[in-house]
Amino acid sequence: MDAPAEVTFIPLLLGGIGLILLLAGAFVWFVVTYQRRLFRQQLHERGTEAAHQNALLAAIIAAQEAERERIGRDLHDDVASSIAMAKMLVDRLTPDPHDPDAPALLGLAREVLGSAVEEVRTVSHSLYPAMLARVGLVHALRYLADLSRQTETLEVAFEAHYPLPLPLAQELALYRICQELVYNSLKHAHGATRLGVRLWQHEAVLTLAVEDDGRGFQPNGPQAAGTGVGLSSIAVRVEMLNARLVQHSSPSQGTQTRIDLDNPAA
Amino acid sequence: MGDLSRVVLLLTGLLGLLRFAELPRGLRYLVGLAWFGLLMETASIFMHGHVSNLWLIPFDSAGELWLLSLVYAWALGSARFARWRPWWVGAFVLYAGLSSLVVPRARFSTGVLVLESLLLLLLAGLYFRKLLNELQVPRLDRDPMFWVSTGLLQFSLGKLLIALFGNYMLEHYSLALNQWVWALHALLITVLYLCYFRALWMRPQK
Repeated sequence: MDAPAEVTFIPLLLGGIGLILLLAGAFVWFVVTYQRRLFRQQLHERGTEAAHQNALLAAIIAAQEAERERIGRDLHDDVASSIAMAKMLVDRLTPDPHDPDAPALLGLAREVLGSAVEEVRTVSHSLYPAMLARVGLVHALRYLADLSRQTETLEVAFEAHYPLPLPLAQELALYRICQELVYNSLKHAHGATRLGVRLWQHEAVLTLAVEDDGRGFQPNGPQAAGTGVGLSSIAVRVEMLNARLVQHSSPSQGTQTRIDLDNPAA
Repeated sequence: MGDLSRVVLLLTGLLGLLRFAELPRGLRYLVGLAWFGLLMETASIFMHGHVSNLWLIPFDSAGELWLLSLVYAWALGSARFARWRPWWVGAFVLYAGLSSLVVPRARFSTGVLVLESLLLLLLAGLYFRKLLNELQVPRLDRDPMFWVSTGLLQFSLGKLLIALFGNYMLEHYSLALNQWVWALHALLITVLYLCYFRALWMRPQK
């Protein structure tokens, strides 16, 4: 005799409920496992981010120290020695108005002081390019190129097409990057005869390119390590600008550095 | 099994009273829910043998959903959820109230039970979604809402099937089927109250 319908229904209902509860258990297990994995991943990402932030901070501090060292050296080697020489010349002046050497000494002291004033201006410009805020990035970069020409060892070419100016903070960062790249070329690109600086807006991308025809370097070699602080400082600023840095260099092939930046004003 | 679930519910309510002062606002509603459940159980016991206690189901569902919606409003911390909560819970309470008038007293309010189960599943789902989206809970076993949601998930899924076939059981009454189903329901509800108990037992994470 067949069992009544309600009796055969029992295993079906209980089986259905059991199956659904099993699925619910599997779902909770999945949530727990997946949440743990996501959490671990998040912790790992936070750790990586913190390490990156620490590296950036260290790079900023190192760049600041290097900059201070450079300014200190400039003040000591150029400005201080010029002023000391002017003082020495003035000390040699006697109270006697008829001293025949007085005009020559005064002329020399004036010349040395004039040179000291120029040196102070150069240091002051490297500290804060007041020209940037006053007349804009193109003029500040042109002035930087003019200063570089004074080394008289390099032919410096500068060209710009910059119709949509960036905010001042971003211009300052770009200027600092250019300053660092130019400084690197002057200091490390032995045998270079040409230095090119180019600021070019093409559609929505603004490109700053600095290139020289010096001896270049192996990207992972000791010379690259020598410019480490400068490159770190550039990398920090490139990251701050959300820009992209591309650098090509190889022995005796010179160095080409390009920074591409999306210009929101475009 | 039914007695065991009542004992666990009573213990949960007592634990809630003991810990009430140090519980966060959301879990205080859970204590309220435990005592509301005890009230319904007491009423059900008194009505048993005199009138059908199935009549209590819409009130039980309405109160349970209302209190749990308050618990989840706290846990989810969503302004949109808090804004819409009185409307959809109010609509459900209205539906449950009307259902108690329309559905014969000796029958299950299938619509109310199914809808309540689905809404409770939705609340648990919203919690799990927030859990995975925000990743703010380092250890799930120390999060009271994880236990509440896990309990509700298993209870609501089981209850959903029981509710769907509740009236079939009444129409094709069999003592064996009845005992099996109510034993299973009591098991589900015991597990749910144990989850509530666990949620109220742990000290809130700072």
